[in-house]
Amino acid sequence: MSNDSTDADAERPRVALIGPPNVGKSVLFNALTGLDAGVANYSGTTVEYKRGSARFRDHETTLVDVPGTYSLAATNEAEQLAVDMLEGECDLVICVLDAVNLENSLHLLLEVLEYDIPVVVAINRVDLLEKEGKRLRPNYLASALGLPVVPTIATIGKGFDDLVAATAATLADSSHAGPRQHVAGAGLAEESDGDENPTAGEEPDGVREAETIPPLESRVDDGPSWERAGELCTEVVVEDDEPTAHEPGYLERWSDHLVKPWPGLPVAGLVLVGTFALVVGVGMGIRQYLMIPFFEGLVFPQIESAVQAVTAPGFYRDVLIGDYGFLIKGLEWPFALVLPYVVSFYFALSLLEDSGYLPRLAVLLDGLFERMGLAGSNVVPLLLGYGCAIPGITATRATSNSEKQRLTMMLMITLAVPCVAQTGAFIALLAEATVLLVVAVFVVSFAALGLAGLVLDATLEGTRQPTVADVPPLLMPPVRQTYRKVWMRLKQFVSGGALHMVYAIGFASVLYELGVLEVASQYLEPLVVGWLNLPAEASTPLILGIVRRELTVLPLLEMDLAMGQLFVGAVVGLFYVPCIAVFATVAQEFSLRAAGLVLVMTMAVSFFVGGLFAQLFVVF
Amino acid sequence: MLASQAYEGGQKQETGERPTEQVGGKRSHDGRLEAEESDPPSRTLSTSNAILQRFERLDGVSQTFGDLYSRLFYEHVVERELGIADPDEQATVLQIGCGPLPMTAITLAERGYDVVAVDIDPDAVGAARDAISERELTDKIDIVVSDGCTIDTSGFDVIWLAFHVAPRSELVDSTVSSLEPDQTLVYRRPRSWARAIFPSDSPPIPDDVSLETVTQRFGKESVVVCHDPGNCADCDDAADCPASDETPARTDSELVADAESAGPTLDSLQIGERATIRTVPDHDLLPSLGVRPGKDVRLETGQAFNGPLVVTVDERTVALDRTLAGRIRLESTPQGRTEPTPTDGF
Repeated sequence: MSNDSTDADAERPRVALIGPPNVGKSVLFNALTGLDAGVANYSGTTVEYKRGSARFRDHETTLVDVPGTYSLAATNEAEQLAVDMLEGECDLVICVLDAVNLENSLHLLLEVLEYDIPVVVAINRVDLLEKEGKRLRPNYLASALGLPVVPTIATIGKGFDDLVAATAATLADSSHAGPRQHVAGAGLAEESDGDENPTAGEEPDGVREAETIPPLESRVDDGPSWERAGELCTEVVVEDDEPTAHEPGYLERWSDHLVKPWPGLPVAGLVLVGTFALVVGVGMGIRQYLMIPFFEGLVFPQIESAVQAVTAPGFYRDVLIGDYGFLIKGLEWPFALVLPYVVSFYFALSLLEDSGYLPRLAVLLDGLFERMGLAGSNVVPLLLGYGCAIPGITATRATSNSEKQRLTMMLMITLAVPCVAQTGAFIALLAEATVLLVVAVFVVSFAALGLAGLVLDATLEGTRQPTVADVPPLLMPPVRQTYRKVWMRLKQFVSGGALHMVYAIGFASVLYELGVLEVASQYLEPLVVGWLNLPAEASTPLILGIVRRELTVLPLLEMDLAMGQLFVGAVVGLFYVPCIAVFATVAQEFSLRAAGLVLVMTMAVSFFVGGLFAQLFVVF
Repeated sequence: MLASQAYEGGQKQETGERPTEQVGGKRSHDGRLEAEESDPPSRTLSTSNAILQRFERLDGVSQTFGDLYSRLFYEHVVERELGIADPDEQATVLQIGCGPLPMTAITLAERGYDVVAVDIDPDAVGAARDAISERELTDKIDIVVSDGCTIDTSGFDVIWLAFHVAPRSELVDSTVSSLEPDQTLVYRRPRSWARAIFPSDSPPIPDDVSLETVTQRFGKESVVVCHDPGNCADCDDAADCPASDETPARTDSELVADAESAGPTLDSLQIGERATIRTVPDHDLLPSLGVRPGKDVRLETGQAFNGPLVVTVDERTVALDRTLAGRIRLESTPQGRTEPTPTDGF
């Protein structure tokens, strides 16, 4: 979002979306702000608020997506953010409740009501509640609390119009009335004339009940208590009139099965291997049958003939289409070698994220992770790290429960988790020889992760909090959502990663043709030739690798290496320093000292382990 | 120092009868040695002991190695044990079976406790003395050659037994029976897979003591035994001592609530069993996830590798750490309590 809109934000009313985690707030947020247009990520001191502009009828507002929180006890960072939002500049709260776990959500709502801010209630996931053979009486809640209450189904956009209307009405009122007393009527009006309302239409008695029940006068005095939440919940959620025998579907049965060691653990193994196969297989497919024919058959011949037509053989031509010719490599490496894996990786990751499988994996692995002082939920930043280290490192805030865990996770990710671009480079380099080499590199990566975890656990100070985690039911991943996530990642890669890579390759090609790289490489030569048994020119990628991780690996493609050398090169690349952007993230999230530690650690480990393998290959 | 007469007695006895030629059985005890060695599981114990001793002696070569070894393998163990036993700051500790690198004693001394460490093997004691003088802990640790079976344990606040003491069963048994009201015994024993390798000896624990176990790495677990709940009112550690669960002598309101609710805990449920929650420890997330007093809870499964328990409350699935689950009290005794650690499959 541009700067001028930030100024405008100050004058516009601010609307906060508050609710428990995993209730569909972000879907609501994207729908209300109009896809992902105008969404700005700006980091608070801790986790990130998501912010965008949303229009409720005549009211132009700034909508803020607050990280999900179960309560306002302010005992963790997400809760603190929610409290900060309520205490700071906030003109209206849309409290998103979970229909399936209504009692817990109601407690949060009661806590939010303690702050004198107008509230509009959205009860999401009504469809899941109805699947359980239960029915919601939103009108009861509306009259009991004196608030507008709108049932929604965020995934299909049901109830959004009502929500917009209710919010607009509340915004209009709040400008000239007290905070809450006026809202009851507006809410009821919205309820009764909302055609889209999934429950109001089929529920005439709901309205009648709502009218006969007097608003509870002692509401404010009660404060947020579990008893009150329980009472409300038993009145609001009722069993269906004709209770249909609740047959658990196969998704529900697998929801239960997959959280048990048997068959959960074997399935987890299959899922991880399957994900790996999917990422590699689909990625190689796209590369082989789409990108390579496109670039090598269509684009490169055109570029080459065009460049040859306008330049004489020599420096300029070499910079453009020579060894590191950036018109060739600058297109081939990011788009033909790396982009296919960006697509396949984020496709697989979205499936894992959206299906609700990751929390199961986290619970299954919790015992094993505990041996490294980590929690099972740390599997999420680890997996994200296989995409890119930066979201992996930022995700440690939400998933770790101690500073020690965060530091451990960060060091593990920067040391031994290759990003997707690097994975693409590994596959390009190694799969030519045999796919087994790719597998071997990943085995080294996993072994290093385990070892690093154990060593870090023993050397870093800190404690581990006991695991308490929600395990949401498995859902079919919505196709639209998966498609959109992959598309967003792709856009990010092209505008961010790929562009930097093109610059870096351009810069490298100039340095290479000027002979600067060769001079610099001479200093690394004893290490590279003597210890790693790689050709002298392999020191070039080690210098480039500081800019982008995959550049440690990709230049090796052109060097005709033997099998052992390929493996050594890949292992060095795996452990070698992460890119500049990761250093910046580490320095910002932790400290400059931590970034320095990462630099020393990755350098030392990559040369040490790479050299060990190289020397081993010499012996055998 | 409180313990001087205690170990002097032991030492005299030791010098009289202790042969030192059995490398494998260095920390074993007189008379029982032959019987132990004829027993195959016990041979694994003495073999592993011999290997570890040789390893620990490397500390004499490089102190850095010893420090790393201690950090990697012992600090956690001792810290977890301290978490349960939680002796007060002036507590004196008797450690039986310290070996050539007395890591438990060092860790305890670094945390401010006065430690008397004994071992039956004079060579090990010599090496241990070098190790502590190198670390400048001689004023906190006394190391003595003595037989743990005959040593007088009175006067110490905590008695700490090494994993490799032998015969463990008898030693634990005799120490427990002579426990004084304010004394705590901490011992280590193999668990799960390691029981197949090491002799599985769990001496019967009398009714008037309370014990709590904590899982350690490498197939070990530590047991903390606290004597005589009836006398806990006199004991300074009563507030944190597991033995005092039954007594309302505590001041902290949460602990009093805990004591009132003594009863079956969530981790004692069998898989598939249901119960109603009575009390829940103070935890930020538990109530929000539906784990609240009065709720019906069903134990779905226990994770492998001693991972969390999975329960359902109000059709919501929640994973709970085992230790935390052990602090959630239930209304009624569930039927058929036989195996307290549910783990299916693995």
